[in-house]
Amino acid sequence: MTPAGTPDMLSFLDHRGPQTAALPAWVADFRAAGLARYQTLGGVPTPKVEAWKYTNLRPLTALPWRPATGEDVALRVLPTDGLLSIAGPRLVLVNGRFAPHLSSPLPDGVEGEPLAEALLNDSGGLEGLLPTPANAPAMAALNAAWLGHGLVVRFAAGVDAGLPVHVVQIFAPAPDGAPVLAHPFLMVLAEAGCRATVIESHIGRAPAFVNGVCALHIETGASLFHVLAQSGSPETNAIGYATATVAKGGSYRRFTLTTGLGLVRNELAVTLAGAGAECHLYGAYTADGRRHVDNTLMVDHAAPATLSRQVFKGVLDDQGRGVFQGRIGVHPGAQKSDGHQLHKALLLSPKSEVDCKPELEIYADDVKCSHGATTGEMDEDTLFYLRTRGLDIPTARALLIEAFLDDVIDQATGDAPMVSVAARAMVSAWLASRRERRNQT
Amino acid sequence: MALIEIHDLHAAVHGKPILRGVSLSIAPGEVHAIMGPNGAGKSTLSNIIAGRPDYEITGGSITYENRDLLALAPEERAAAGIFLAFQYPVEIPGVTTTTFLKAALNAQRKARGEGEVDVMQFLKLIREKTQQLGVSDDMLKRPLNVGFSGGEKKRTEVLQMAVLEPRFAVLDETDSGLDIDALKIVAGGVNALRSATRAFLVITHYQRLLDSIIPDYVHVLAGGRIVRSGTRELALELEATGYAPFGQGSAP
Repeated sequence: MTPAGTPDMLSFLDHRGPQTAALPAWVADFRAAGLARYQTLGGVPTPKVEAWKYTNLRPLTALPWRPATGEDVALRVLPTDGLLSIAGPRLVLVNGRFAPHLSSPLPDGVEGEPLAEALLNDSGGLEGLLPTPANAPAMAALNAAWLGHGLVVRFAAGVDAGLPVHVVQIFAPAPDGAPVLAHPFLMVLAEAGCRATVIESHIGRAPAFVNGVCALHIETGASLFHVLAQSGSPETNAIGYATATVAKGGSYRRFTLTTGLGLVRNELAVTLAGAGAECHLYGAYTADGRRHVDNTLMVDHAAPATLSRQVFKGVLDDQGRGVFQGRIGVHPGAQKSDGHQLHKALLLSPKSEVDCKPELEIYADDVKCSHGATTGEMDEDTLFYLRTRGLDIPTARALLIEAFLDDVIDQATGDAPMVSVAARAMVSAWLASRRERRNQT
Repeated sequence: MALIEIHDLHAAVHGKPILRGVSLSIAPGEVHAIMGPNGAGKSTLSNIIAGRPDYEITGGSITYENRDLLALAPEERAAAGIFLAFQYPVEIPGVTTTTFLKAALNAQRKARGEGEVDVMQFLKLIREKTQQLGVSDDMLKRPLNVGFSGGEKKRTEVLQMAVLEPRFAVLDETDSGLDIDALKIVAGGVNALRSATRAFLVITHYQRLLDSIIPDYVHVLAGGRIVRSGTRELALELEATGYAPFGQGSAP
């Protein structure tokens, strides 16, 4: 059965990576379970599905997507976009395929293995670490049906990884110019007591539809800082579903910075599974032109004395659209949980839009949970004040936009100056391109 | 030769006339004070000089250094040497006082065709001015005016004036909300900037500011017009009589 209206998402199942008999038997079952789940859920979600009310994928599915084959893309030099100015070893995927010639060696205590190899080798209990397709949302289930390419990164127990490890995903034009479809899978395993930073970059260079899945495991006492930086062509569309499980005393900090790409959805489900586990989720995004940026977060406090923070800020311009859906759930018995969520949006144009949906679902009685949201325009009195000091309107607006986003960059990267500087540079680059466009019109 | 010449200025807000023919001529080196009851149009006049967009100019003119001031955007006025110290300075979260000062100075230099200020020179300049005004390093590192006390906000306004070195500065009720010590610091900062080439327009409801910033001329604005002009003695007289003789307001 093919779900109505979505033939393009399914018609290339033959291309989903290694198909040899050498693959462990569970891989075929896993893919079949993904496909079954995808079909059970009715295929590509429509806005009638509550979680997708504000983000409509249907217009994208109409394009003649062709599955990615990274091998045929002649990319010789790594871009310098986004956060790639920061020093550190690199693991590079081009259109979802591992690109060894662009990648560099990892330090002791850190392993990176292309998923295709990890599957063939059936290494390190991979099966038990993959998210079960039976519970996945539709697009993540589709990714499971295509399981084959991506990366598995492991930080060994107790290691202090030092420099950040870059996971670079570049979406580059196929030789025949066909729009690229990719289902990359990334797994990060932070073993007990390690300290690690992963900088994941999504760099758009081509018409593409990326349906990524990311599984993060933060073991007992481990601390993972995960930066996701998205920049580049508005023809590149990237939706992603990430799960993070944080064990006892572990900490997951995430900073999502989106200044480029077209339709973006970053869905993140965090389970604070052990006592004292924490997650700090920060985000800064811009949506101009017709860009669409959706951050959908679900934090489950499944153990006592767990802490979560969500602070997201967005700048919406032109016909740009922002979506923020943030849910905090506290399970029975997860006493002394502390959850807070904040979303702030700055609207620069009358045609820009932001939809914000906070949700608290609390089944314990001794908890602290709160949420807040503001949406506003730039303050005219503030603009006038800046003008009386000599700043022209574009300069004054740029200063205020920068200040608005700096606030969350500071919170997210306070102890990581290199990330902080590079993140600010991404925002400055966005502002410069915005100004240039304004000057042309 | 006047630095700024306001001629028969009429202005309205949302169709309601506020200024009904204000004329005023200020020469370089002079300090003029405008006093008047609440609602007389004092803040309207200062906002119009700075270029706030919400006002409708229904008649008259303002000539500044032989240019039509009303034709200039607020930022062009700033670059030409006009400065307004706000009655209610705006809080700017996320922009530190230092960053703000540098952005403002460089914007004005750029508009005048000058290069960006050297960072070392800038820091030296700031250090000099902050010491004079009792502005702490902490205030320089904090976002502009965010969480500042009334006195700190007004001192920061004067600090901006000291750094930007305008030729014509308007102080809009700079004394409001200040205790006597803060008032003295602010007045000291203003007095330090008095020079033969710079002029000031000091707008106030109360006479006491004029004990510290001694004006050359005092004008009474009431009902949208300057109804009386004189020297410093006029301010002292007003202290005794209040604004009642001008048909409005109560004793200060």
